[in-house]
Amino acid sequence: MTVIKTEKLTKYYGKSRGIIDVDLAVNEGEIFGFIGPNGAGKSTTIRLLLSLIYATSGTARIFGKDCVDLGHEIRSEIGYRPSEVFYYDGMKVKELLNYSASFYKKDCSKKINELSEIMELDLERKIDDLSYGNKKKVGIVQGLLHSPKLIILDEPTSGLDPLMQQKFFDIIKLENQKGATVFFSSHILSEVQKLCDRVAIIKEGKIIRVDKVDNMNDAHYKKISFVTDKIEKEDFEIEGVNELKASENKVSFIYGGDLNKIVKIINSKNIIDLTISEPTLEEIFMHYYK
Amino acid sequence: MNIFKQEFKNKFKPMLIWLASILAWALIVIAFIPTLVEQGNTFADLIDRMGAFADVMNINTNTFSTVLGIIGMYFGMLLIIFGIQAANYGFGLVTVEESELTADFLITKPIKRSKIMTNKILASLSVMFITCTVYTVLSYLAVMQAAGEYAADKKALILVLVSSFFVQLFFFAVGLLISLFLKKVKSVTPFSMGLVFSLFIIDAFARTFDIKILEYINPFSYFEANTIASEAKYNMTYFIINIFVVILCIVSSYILYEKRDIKSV
Repeated sequence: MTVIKTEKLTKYYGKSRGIIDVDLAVNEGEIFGFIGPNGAGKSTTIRLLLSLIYATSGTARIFGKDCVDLGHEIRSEIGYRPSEVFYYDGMKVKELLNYSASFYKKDCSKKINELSEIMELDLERKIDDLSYGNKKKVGIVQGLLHSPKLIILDEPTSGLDPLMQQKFFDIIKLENQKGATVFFSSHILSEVQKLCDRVAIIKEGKIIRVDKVDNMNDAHYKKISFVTDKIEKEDFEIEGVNELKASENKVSFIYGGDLNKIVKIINSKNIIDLTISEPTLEEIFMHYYK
Repeated sequence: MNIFKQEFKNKFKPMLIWLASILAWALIVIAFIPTLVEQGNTFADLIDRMGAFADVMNINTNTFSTVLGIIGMYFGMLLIIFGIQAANYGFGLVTVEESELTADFLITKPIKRSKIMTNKILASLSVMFITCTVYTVLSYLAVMQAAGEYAADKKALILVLVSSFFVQLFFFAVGLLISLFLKKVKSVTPFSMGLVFSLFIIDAFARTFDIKILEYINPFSYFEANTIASEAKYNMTYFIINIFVVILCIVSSYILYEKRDIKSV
C-alpha cells in the first residue's frame, strides 16, 4: 500500500519557488529518506503533507485520503517532529505532553513514560528551562506518543549528541518494526544511509532521483585516485568523470561511466599507486549538487 | 474543548490584572462623584468658555454637575482600555502562535482549522465577558452606593456600563480580521493601540466638526457614553451596524484562516 502519494505537487510563495512537480510514492512500512540542502524544498513538501500550507497545484494523498480535504482525519495517524521545536511558555514538559495527547482519542500515558525514560527526559521540568537538545527530545516524545502509523521527521537529529542520536534511531527503527512508515528529511547523508530503505534527492524544488540507498552506492560509481609521474589533466576530462582533482602527480575523481574506458586511460600511465573504492553517499550527493 | 481550556487559562491571569486596573480607575472616579457633583457648577462656567475644545474633550456644562455626566465622561474614556484589551485578543488570536512558532504544534494535530478558530474565539469571548460583567456589576453597585442623594438613572447607568462589551466585540472582530491580512505580526500591542487610538481620535474629530459619515464605522461613536447617559437608550441603527460588523469580520476570518499558509521558522 502506498502511504504517501504526491502528484505534480507544486508550491510557489508568491513568485519565489517552493517545490515544482514533486511526485513521490512512499510505501507502507518503509523508511524513506528525503535529502537535499537547505532551501531545496524539503520542509515545503512536509508542510504541504501536513496542510500547514496549501499547494499552488497538484495533489497530495496520505493513506489514500486527500491532505487538504481530510487533513484532520489523516493527522490522527501522523506523528510530526519539526526541525525546530517551540512550545507554550510556562508549561511543564508533562503538561505539554498531556496537552498534545488530549488531541488523540486514546490513552497515551504509558507511551509517554516509556519514551521519556528512554530519552532520559525529566517530565517535571519547565520547557523554558530546558536546553536545546532536551527541547528536541520533548519534540520526539511529542511526535510519537500516540503511536502514529506515519512518522514525519524534519531534520530530527540536529542538536542531539551522538549517544542520543543513536537512541533516537533505535526508537525510530523499533516503531518501524511495529509497522510505522517513516518519512525522514535530512541533509546529513550518513544518517540517511544508516536508517533509510529508499531516498529521494531534491534539488532546487525538483526531485532529481528516487532510488534504494543500496542502489545509490552501487550505481557503478567508483571513487578513483592514483599517483603517477606525470599528469595530463585533459586525459581525464571525459564523460562520466566528476569531481576531478589533479595536482602535480596525483589525480582523483568519481567515475560513473564505462569502466573499460577508464581502465584503458589509467593503463596508459605509469602508475605508482592506485585506489578504487566505493564513494560515500556524500560524494555522490555532491555530484548531484554541483 | 482542550484548546478552549488552554486558551482560557492563558488569558485569565493577565485579564485579572487588566480588570484590576480598570476597576481601580472606575472606583476612584466613583468615590469622587459626590464632591464633583457638589462643585459641578464651578466647572460649568469654565467649560462654557472652552468652546470647541470642550467638544473635542466630549464635555459640556452638565458633565460635572450630574452623576451621569461624570460617568459619561470618565467611563467613555475607559472604553479605550476595553478596546485595547479586545483588540489584543483579536490581533493575537492567530498571530501569537505563528510568531512564537507554536502554530505548527497545533495545526498538525487531528483537528480542523475551523474548530481551532471556534475554540479560540469562544475562549476570548468568555474572558471578555467576564471582564465586562465584573466591571458592570461592581461599578453599578459602587455608583449606587456613592451617588446617594444624587442617585443616577439606573437604566442609563447600566447601558453605559454594558456598552463596554459591545465595544470589545467590535475591536476583537476587526482586530482578528486585520491580522489575517497581515503576513506576520511580530508584536500585537502596536497594532491594537494604533487601531483603538485612531478610532478614538476619529470619533473626537467627527464630533467636533459634526461629520456624521465618520460615525458609521466607529464603536466610540456607536456607544458614545454621554449620549447613552442622557437618552437612556442605544442608537439602534448603530447597535445593529456594530453587530453586523462583528459577524462579517468573524465569518471572513474563518474563511481566510482556512486558506492561510502557516509560515515556518
